[in-house]
Amino acid sequence: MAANSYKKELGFSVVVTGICALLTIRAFSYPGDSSQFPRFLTVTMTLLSIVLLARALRSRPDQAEAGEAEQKRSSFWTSHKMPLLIFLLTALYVVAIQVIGYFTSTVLFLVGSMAFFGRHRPWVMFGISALFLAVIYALFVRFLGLRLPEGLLF
Amino acid sequence: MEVLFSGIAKGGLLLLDPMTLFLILAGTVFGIIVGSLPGLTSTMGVALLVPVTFGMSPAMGLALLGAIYCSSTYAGAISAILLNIPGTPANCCTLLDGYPMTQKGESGRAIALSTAGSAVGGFLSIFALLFLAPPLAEFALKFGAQEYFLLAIFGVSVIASLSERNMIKGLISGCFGLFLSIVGMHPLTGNVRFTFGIAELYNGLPLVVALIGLYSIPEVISILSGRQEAVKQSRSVGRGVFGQMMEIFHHKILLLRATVIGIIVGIIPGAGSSIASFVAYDDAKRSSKNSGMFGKGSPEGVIASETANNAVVGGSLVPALTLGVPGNAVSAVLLGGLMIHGLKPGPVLFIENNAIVYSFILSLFVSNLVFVPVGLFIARYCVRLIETPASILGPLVVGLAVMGSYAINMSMVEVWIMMAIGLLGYLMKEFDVPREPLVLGLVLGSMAEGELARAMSLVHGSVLSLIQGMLTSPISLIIIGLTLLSLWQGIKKQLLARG
Repeated sequence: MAANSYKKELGFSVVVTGICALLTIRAFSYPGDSSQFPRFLTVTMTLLSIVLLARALRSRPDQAEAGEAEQKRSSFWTSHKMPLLIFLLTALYVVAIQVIGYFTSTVLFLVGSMAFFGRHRPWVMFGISALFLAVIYALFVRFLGLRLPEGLLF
Repeated sequence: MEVLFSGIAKGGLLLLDPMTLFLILAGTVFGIIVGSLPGLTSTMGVALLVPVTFGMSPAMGLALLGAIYCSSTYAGAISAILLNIPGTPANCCTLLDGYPMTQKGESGRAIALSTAGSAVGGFLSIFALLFLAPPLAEFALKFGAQEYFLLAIFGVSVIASLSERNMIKGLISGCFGLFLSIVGMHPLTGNVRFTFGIAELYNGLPLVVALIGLYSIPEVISILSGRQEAVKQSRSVGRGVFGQMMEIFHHKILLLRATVIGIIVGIIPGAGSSIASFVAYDDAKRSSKNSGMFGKGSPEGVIASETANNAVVGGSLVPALTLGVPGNAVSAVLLGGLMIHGLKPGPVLFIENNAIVYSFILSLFVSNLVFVPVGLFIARYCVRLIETPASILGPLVVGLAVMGSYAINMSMVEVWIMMAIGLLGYLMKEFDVPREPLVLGLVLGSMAEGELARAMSLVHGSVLSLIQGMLTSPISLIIIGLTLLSLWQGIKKQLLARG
C-alpha cells in the first residue's frame, strides 16, 4: 500500500472504529427489549471496523514512503477543496431558501453556480433558471398541489 | 392460476387508462435522458421521481417508475457506444465492443443491436416475473418471522460478499444501512432510538430522502469538480437502424442464454445488472465461434451485455414483489415507492393488491416496447444531451434533489437530512466504500428488526429458543447455508485477489 493511501485508510479506520464504539455505547443505553437489534448491529460494526483497523495497521509503509506521504498531504487538501466548496454552496442554498424563499434563492443559486463553474452568458443562465422554476412550479404546485418552501422574508 | 388470470385482466384494464400510457411514455423519455447521462444512475432517476408519484394513483405511479427503470437501464448503452462512457454501471460491459464498433463507423448498428437486445431481454424477463412470481409468492407464505429476518440478513450478506475490492467495507456499509433503518421508534415497544432529538426521525429515516442524498450529491460533486472523464467528440448515429435490429435474431441461442443469466442474477438479492452483464459477456465469449473478435467490436458482445442487463429488471422484481427483498438498488427504491403508496411487498401483495401489481407488471411490457422507438429517436440527438456542460447539469441536479426531498413531507429538515446523507455518500465514494450494501441495508433493516422482534416475542424473548427454532426449520437452515456460502465466496475472492 502506498504511504498516502495508508494514511487515508488508517485515518478512515480509526474514525469508523470510534463512531462504531460510540454507537455501541449508545445502543446499550436503551431498554433491552427495544435495542436487541441495534446492539447486535453496533457490536458487529465495531468488530468489523477493528478488523479494518488491524488490516490498515498491518499494511504500514516504510519510512521513505511515509516521508513522501507528508509531502503529498497538501495535494490531498487541494483535491478536496472543490468538493467541500460545492457542498458548502449547496448548504448555503438550503439556508437561503429558509430566509429569502424558494424562488429568489433558486435563481441566485442556479445563476451563481453556473457563473462560478464557467457559464458567462446571462441569457443562458437566467433562461435555464426560469425554465427550471417553470417546470418545478408546473409539476409540484399546479400538478401535485404542493406548497413550495417559504422563507422568513418572502 | 385463477389469481394470475384475474389479475392480468384487472391489471390490463387499469393499464388502458390513457394517462397511465402517457406516464409510461414520459417515464421512458425521462429514463432515457437519465440513463444516457453519465453520472446519473437508474437508481437516482427512480428516486428523484418517487415524490412526483405522490399525487397519482398507485398504478400510475408504479407504471411511471417502472418505465424509468427499464429505459434508463437500456439508455446507458447509448453513451457507452458513442462516447466510451457507460451511462450507468449496468452498461460498463457494453462499451468493450460497442465503442470499437463506433470507431469502425458502425455506431448505428451497435445502437440498433443494443436496443433490440435490451428489449428482448427485458420482455422475456417480465414474462418470467409474470409466471415465476405467483408460485414464489405461494412458497413465500411458508416463511415465518425468523425466516424473514434471516432473509434480510442474507440480502445484505450477498451484496457485501460481492464487494470484491473490500469485503469488510462492504459488510460495514451493509450493517450501517441496517443501522440507519432502525433509527426511530421500535416496531413493537415504541421506544425512540438514535433520533438525537429530531422529531422528523421518530418514524424512521425517510428512505427516498436518503436515496436522493446518497446518489445525487456525490455525483454532482464528481461532475462539478471535474473528477469524471471529459466528454469526447460526438458522433452521429447512422440511419436504417430498424433493419439492423433484426440481426439479433441471428443469435437466438446467445439471446436466450444472456436472458436466463440476467433473470437468475436479477433474482439473487444484491447481484446487480453490471454483474449480469459481465457474466453474460464472459459466457458469450467462451461459447462464440468468433471469440477473437470480442473486445474489437463484436456485435455478440454488445448483444450479450445489453440483453443480460435488461433481463435483470424482471428478475430483480421477483424477490422484491414476492418477498420484499430487493434484487438490487433500483428495485430497492422501487420497493420504497411501492411502500409509499401503501402497498406491502410480500406474498399477500398478489392477493390484496392483485390489480395494481399486475397492472405494474403489464406496464413493464409496454415500457419495453415503448423504449425501442423512443430510444432510437433520442439516440440520434442524444449526443447533444450527453455533452450538457457540467456547469449547467450539476446545479440543476442539486435543485431537483432539494425539491424532491422537500416534497415528500414538505419539510426543510428532510432537506438537511438529504444533505447529511449526501455528505456520507461522498465520503463513502472517497474512501472506496460501496454504497449499494448501505441501500439494501436501509431497505431491509426495518423488515429485519420487525421480524426479529416478532420472532423473539413468539419465543417469549429467549434467544436460545430462537436459535433452536432456526436450526430446526429447513427453510431457515437453507437461508443460513446460503448466507454462509455467500460470505465464504466473498472471503475466497479476497484470498485469491491477494494471491
